[in-house]
Amino acid sequence: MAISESTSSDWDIETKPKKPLKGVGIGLRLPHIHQIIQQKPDVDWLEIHSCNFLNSPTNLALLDHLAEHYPLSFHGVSMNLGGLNPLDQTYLAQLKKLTDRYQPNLISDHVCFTANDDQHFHDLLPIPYTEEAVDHLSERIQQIQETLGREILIENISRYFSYPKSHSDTNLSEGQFLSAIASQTNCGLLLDINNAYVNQINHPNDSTQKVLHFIKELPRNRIKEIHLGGHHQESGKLIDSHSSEVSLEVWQLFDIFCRDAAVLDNADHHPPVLIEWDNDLPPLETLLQQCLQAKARIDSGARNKDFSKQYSAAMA
Amino acid sequence: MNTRYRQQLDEFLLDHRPQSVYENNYRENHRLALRQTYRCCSLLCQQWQAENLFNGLLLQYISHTNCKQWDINLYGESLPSFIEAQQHSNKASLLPWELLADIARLEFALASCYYGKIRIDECFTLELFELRDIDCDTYAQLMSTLQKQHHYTVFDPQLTASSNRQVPCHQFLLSFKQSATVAIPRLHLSANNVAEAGDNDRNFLTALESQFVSTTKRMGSV
Repeated sequence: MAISESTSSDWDIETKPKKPLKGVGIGLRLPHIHQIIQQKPDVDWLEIHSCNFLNSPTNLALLDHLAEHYPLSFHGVSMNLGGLNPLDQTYLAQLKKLTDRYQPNLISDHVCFTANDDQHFHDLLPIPYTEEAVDHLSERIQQIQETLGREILIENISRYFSYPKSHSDTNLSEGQFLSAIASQTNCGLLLDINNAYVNQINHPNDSTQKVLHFIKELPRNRIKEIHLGGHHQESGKLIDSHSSEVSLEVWQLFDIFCRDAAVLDNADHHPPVLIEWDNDLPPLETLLQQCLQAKARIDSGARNKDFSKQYSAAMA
Repeated sequence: MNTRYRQQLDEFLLDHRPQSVYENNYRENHRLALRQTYRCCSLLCQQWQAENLFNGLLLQYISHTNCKQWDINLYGESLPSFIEAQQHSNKASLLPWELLADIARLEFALASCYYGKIRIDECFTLELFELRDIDCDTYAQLMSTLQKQHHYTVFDPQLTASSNRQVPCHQFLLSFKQSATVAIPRLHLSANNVAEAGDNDRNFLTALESQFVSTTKRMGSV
């Protein structure tokens, strides 16, 4: 059914509050959808690319089957949070309808711009981390949250360009930038550890891009989701291609995050974790294996909580 | 408002993006999107050992055609015309460009249906993919490839007569069907017998019939 043509009964909004998303999920990719519908694999939750479901009656019918069995998170690429064009109200209205229909636990998009004038790049283009940009994005995020009637999460992107610093700008680190926006808008943060790692390697002269420095600057209570994905190397840079398994380095950074989370937060409230794989998609079983690995690492962080506390105290 | 911010973004787009990883990403993302939408065309070119030619064509198209909408699934609407124009180029003899353009139009119509550019509660004209003068072998190959590449579509075409051209052509009816195993809608492509249609209705396919659709409304050509 076409979204805009649906009758009101099609859009009955489920009003019961959602339980917080927990555990490890996978990004739902269309080649896996039939297998997931038929086999109902043991996955804690699914993240969908909401843009692929806004207008597709076929995809919506498929999603109906999945929504009965799995909690959902909506992840988008087209809000154009950092863009200069006015927010696309048609897009937001469609997203609102989709949100009302499925009541996803989380909705997220990226800290970037994706369109300019009448051109859509379908890429996550970088923005400068300045106070002016904080105000610009905050205003747009507030508008979006008002339209959707709920919090959104914003994700740190991988960047292959750094804006030159200027004396006339108030330059912030990425961590400070995201924190400032979260503070102004009450939005949540989606921490992509692979993106942070890619930035650390691609911007070796910027100490604020060291992953642990970056994470330390983020307000922990705002981190509502973690992404783990793969990258590859090309022309001396790491490219966030989501085309391979999570790398050893990213697993190790995740271990540190889990250990800290166990110490600093209640282990029961570890942010939900997503295995993200978009290109050169492997069999579903490979993704499920990555999920198990992530779960084991979260559990290990919780088990070592006491040791970690002592370790942290000693390090402090 | 945002003067400095605007200036920074403009500088990035003009001076840095064209020589950076971003340009490669842009080209590759859009090439993959076109190959996905036009996957039957792509596979046929592969079978005709013209994969490089087709890829080159896609890259040329991308370099000349910006995407003007957020949905990348609907990028490439004018590709069929671009393909058709190749019959006048120096590559005219290398591929059956008119046939390829027809198949491309069919594939974009399917994508439009799938991603809501054509609303499935409206009917639409598919006279645009009157597959032109193809031999039996190519036709069989085409049907088989279409079926394999478009999983949600059942292809059940038959030769009919075009009302306006009075030449054989193929027309199709698109509808959603219930899958036997899982309630997954499928696009059902069957023949539209124009001989049985009313005078005013000969050149367009009638409604998409499914449990989701109760009303039909005429729409212009895709």
